[in-house]
Amino acid sequence: MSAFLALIRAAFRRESEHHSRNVFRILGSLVEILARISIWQAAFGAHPALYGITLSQMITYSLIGGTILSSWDATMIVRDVGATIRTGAIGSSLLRPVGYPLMLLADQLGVRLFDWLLVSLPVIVIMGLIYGIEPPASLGHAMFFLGHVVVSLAILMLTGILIGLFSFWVFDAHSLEWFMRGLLAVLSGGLVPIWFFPKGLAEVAHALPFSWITYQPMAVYLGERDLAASALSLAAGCGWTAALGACVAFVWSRACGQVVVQGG
Amino acid sequence: MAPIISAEHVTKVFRQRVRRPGLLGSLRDLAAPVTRPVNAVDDISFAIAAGEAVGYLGPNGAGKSTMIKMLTGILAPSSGKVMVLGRHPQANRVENARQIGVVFGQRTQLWWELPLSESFELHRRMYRVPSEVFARNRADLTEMMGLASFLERPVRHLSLGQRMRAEIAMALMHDPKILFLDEPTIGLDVVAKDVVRKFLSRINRERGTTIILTTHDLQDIEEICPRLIMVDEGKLLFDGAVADLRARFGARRRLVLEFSREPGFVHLAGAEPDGGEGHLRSFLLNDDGRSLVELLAALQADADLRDVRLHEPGIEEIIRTHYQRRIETGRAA
Repeated sequence: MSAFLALIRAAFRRESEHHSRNVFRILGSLVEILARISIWQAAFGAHPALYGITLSQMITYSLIGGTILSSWDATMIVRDVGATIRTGAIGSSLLRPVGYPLMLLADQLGVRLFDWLLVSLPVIVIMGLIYGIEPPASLGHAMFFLGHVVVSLAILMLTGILIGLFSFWVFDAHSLEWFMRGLLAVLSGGLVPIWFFPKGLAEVAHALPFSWITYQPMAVYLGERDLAASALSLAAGCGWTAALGACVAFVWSRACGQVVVQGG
Repeated sequence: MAPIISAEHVTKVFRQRVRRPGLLGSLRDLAAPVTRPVNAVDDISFAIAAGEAVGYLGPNGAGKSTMIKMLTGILAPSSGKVMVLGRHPQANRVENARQIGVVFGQRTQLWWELPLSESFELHRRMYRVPSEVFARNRADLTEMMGLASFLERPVRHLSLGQRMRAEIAMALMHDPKILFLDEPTIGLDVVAKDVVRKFLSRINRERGTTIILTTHDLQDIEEICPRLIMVDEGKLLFDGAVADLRARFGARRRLVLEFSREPGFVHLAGAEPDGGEGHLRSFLLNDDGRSLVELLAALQADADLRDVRLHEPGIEEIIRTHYQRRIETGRAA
């Protein structure tokens, strides 16, 4: 556990070294949120609500869903794993007495925590002050939302590690990365909430774990679920987390025999 | 004593893609790739006892790193068996990793963006080194390797020599029983090489740490390793004491005679002429037990010999002779 926490901290420290990059990440995130909000303003036009969702709710969805619950940057892990395999740097990781998926998880958590604190939070505060942000529907909803955030993080990280591990078979990590990016952008509800999806696609999205990354937590936050439904949704998310964890363990056990360490 | 490292008929085969020429060829490669097997390690066996220092030597592409990767558990052999400290290193990668130290000269184990001291701290936690052991080792290694002046500097700011010293120090923080080094002196200047060699030799002597070192710098081996394993094209060529290498490869001593005037053709019984011009003549001695005095006495009295020099072949020369011979036979075939 101590090693795991230390690795998270190391990733956090590493991120903090890139000062100029971090400034641009905040700027980039601000522009992205601005674009999302503008699109929803245009879509709503003069309507106070669409399908029972108000513009103010959608702005809140964009703000939180586009920052701390966003799946976009999490696909970087696929690129990173691919690069370590291509260059043979994976060898250095495998020399350490820690499970490789666990190292990946710690590293991603460090990056994510840094992002939350130094990119997401400032962006939410700045844009919230300009456009307004709705509070959670109730204290109970807030508690369930926090639970969902943990599940969201776990599902996102595990999906990234799972797809990253496929780089052991598919040498071109770039295609995997874009596959994951596209898949998650749609099915997490990160771009468009699932309540606006056509029926068939909505059913697909509900049957997969990815909606727990953005959509389910936001539906709870905004009070679109009552507390009982929120509890059920949280339980289902935990189930998905366990299933993905088992998948990662299985794929890693297969990948171990597949390791080819490039270079001398 | 039972060996702590053993390899029994170890073979590692990689599949290498064969590319076919032309556009049609690349399309066919895409649809149905053709691969051919390459034996990076080919039926190698050896055993190493605790406390030994062994040089694993061979030219580029001889399969040195592949063997190290199998011993450290990051690759599995295609056939045969490797055992390290009584375990299969790949099946027990994490347990194996805890008891060995590894330095890859061309890769870093340190955290690039963090100060060196934090890499050590991370290492302590990952290897679960008890605090008092860590404190002692850190102090000792920092002193022996002269790390104090750059402990708080980010690793990416270190010079190659500083980094390599740090890599080796870190690999020893958890008191590993075995230290694997893959080209530890590559790219270092003469002074840094010397520091590293002296240090490794001392660690082997004083701590009894078993050392396996791959290199193509023979001086590394001469200074650190009494035992040498030589491989080429995946196969084992030699395994034994460095001192026995000469006998095994039949490298001969070279005798250079210097005359006061151009001597013309010089015949020396028990030696084979091997070039020379002007006042110098060079011979390769047949190792038939004849003494140098005897050889020289046979020279004509009026030869006007001014100086005599005898060169013992270093391992470098022995191995160069071997590789050259191999290339020549390859060409002839």
